[in-house]
Amino acid sequence: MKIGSVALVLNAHLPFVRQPDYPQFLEERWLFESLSECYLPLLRLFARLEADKIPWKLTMSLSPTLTAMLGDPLLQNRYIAWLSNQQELAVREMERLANDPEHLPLAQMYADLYRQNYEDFTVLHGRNILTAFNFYFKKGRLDLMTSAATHAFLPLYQSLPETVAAQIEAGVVSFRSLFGRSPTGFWLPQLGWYPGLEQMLSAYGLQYTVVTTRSALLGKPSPRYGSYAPVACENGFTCFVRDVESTNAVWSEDTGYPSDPVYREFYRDIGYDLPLDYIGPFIDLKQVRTFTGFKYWAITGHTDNKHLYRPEKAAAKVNEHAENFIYSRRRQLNKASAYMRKQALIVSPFDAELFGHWWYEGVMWLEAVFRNAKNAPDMSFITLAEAYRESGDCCRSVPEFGSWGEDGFAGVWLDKSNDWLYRHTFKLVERMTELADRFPDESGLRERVLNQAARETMLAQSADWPFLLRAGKSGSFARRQIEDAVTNFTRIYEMMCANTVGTEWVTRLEKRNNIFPLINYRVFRSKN
Amino acid sequence: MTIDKLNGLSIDALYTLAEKIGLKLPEGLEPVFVIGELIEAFNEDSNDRRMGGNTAVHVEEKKFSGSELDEIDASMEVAACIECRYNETSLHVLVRDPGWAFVFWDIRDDDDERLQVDNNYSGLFLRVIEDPANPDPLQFDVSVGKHDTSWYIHLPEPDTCYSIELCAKAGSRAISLAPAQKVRTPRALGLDLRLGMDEFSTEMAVLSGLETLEPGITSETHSTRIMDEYGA
Repeated sequence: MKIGSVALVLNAHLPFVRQPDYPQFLEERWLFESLSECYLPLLRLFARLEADKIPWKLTMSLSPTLTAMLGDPLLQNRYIAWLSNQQELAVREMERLANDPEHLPLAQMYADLYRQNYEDFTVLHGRNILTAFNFYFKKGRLDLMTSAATHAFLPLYQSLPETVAAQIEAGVVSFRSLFGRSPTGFWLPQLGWYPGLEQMLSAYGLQYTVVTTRSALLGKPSPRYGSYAPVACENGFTCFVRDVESTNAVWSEDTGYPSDPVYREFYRDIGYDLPLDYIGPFIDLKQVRTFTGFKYWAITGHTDNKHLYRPEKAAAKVNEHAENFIYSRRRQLNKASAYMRKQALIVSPFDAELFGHWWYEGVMWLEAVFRNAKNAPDMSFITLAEAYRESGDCCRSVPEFGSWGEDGFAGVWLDKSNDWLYRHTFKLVERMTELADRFPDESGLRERVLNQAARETMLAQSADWPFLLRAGKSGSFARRQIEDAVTNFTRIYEMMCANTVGTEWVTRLEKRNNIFPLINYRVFRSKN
Repeated sequence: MTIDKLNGLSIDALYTLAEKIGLKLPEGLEPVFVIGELIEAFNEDSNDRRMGGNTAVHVEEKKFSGSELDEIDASMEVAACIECRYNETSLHVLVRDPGWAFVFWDIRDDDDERLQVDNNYSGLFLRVIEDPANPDPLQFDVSVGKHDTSWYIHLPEPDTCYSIELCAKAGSRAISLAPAQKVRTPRALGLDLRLGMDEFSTEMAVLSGLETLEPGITSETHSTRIMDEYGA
């Protein structure tokens, strides 16, 4: 007898880091690393599972900023150049380690990884991996969700319904243009939810999302089945609930699987370990030490004396952890379904980039989970789209405002390190609404200018900027992204108020910040 | 943050970094001592965040792999290159969590000039009214400086509506400067949550991990945990 299902959900997202004005840009590396260590290995995993007829099911959110970058020819070319650089580094490493039988196989491992990535990216996927995701989407193996246009943390903008609508609409339009159909699922950036959001999401034909357990348990009325069944808001919009136990098994840096001593150490990288005159040509600007992706050490424990990474030991551990994951989920489902007297559902959402990038063995672990699932016939993997279709009459409950941030609310995106930015993002929305109300019927150049103003308004709102400011990582980059967007918008605002448009400047800006080609500035018109 | 990276910073940059993270250090310390204090503070901060159950966000940091520039970046004050005000009298309130809201405002220059010439003008305050729909609501005032433009306000009750207004004190009068903004604080986990649930729902909430979400519960530590971002 079937006891329930597990929905694994991966949120793939990066902020818009395209910088065409520079020949090379540090933060564009986030995209290249994620492509190399996560997205391309995931696609190879899907192909292997298909070839072996393993019944895998997965849900992914591909954020609109990420899909814009994945489909961008400039970044595609830059990724190929970056991959060539990585392959060259692999050759140099194999020469350097030629007489070191312990390290040499690891250098070979990276040489194979970057060669395979190069072949897959240029030949198999024709430089655009979105087509491959769409292939599995159409087959029903993969459910794709959209998200807010620039990953804005929506609860902080709830008093500005125009911008929440714009974030949703641009996400939906972008998804439809890429995948040829309307999305049904919506990934909430940072799982940021507030009561009332369901009205806006439903208005765009969206049917379901995922909220945190805290949001759900604080919902009104209290959900009958906790996190083991979705809830439906008054208007029928469905909220799946993130499961705490299964996500902690993977997320937790203290007790989660990725912390096992035999797995590859993320922080120890030859970009910091080797002399600058050797590593210089392979790092940014030849003098700023960064990660190269070449890491030879195992986590080992709380020590600087790391053991050498042994892929065969890690592979054995991957299998053990996959079996443990399935065992633990069955145990959970058994308990829950006994109480519920019906099948239970576990929803486990993660950041996609966790797999392969930080947790190097993460993609292998996913594969092992799907392969080992054959030993658990009473449990199945399911997409959220399928779970939505099967959900029937859900308990009525509206989740409370919340997120998966540190305090369960908005503290990560609103503290002393980043609160200054809201003065600007709020002003941009107010002025954008004013422009949309004053100029509702523009066409030609003036319409292009207003659309660019809408892009700049949304680019300033990315939740990644306050996140980075708070984390102290790439803080000046985050700050500059906000300042650039505010400056660009303000220039447009002043041009529109003065009834003068600088064609050349606007055209340059359109080429630089070329995200959301189908945007319609009128979405910012007053809602009241 | 690693020792190697800190070693590359000047003593001034190290002191600036210490100040930024709230470390008060006596002047004239050798760089090696300042670095030691910084590493300890970073490790404490990292442990606090882990113990706070901030797993999702802490993991998310990893996808934004940094560089040496992060530390240099963190050690320098960055001058804002956009205007910090819009010369407009307005007030906005953002609810952060069940107990706190962030309020920011601006006062137009000519409004401010009018206040300055008023002999009775003695300062600004935020008037907070709890449950404004109540005919006899509770209220309190929070004094703010004449040059302040933002404030974090403690809102005592979760799941409650508040009205927040920017006012000027002029003798015994309160002059409203910007329209009041209404917000609602979210509900918080606590005993009353369980009181509102029947036995079945409570069992399901516990199975869903309620006890790990409630305040006061900390996660176990693991002897083999991985090094944090500052410890590599």
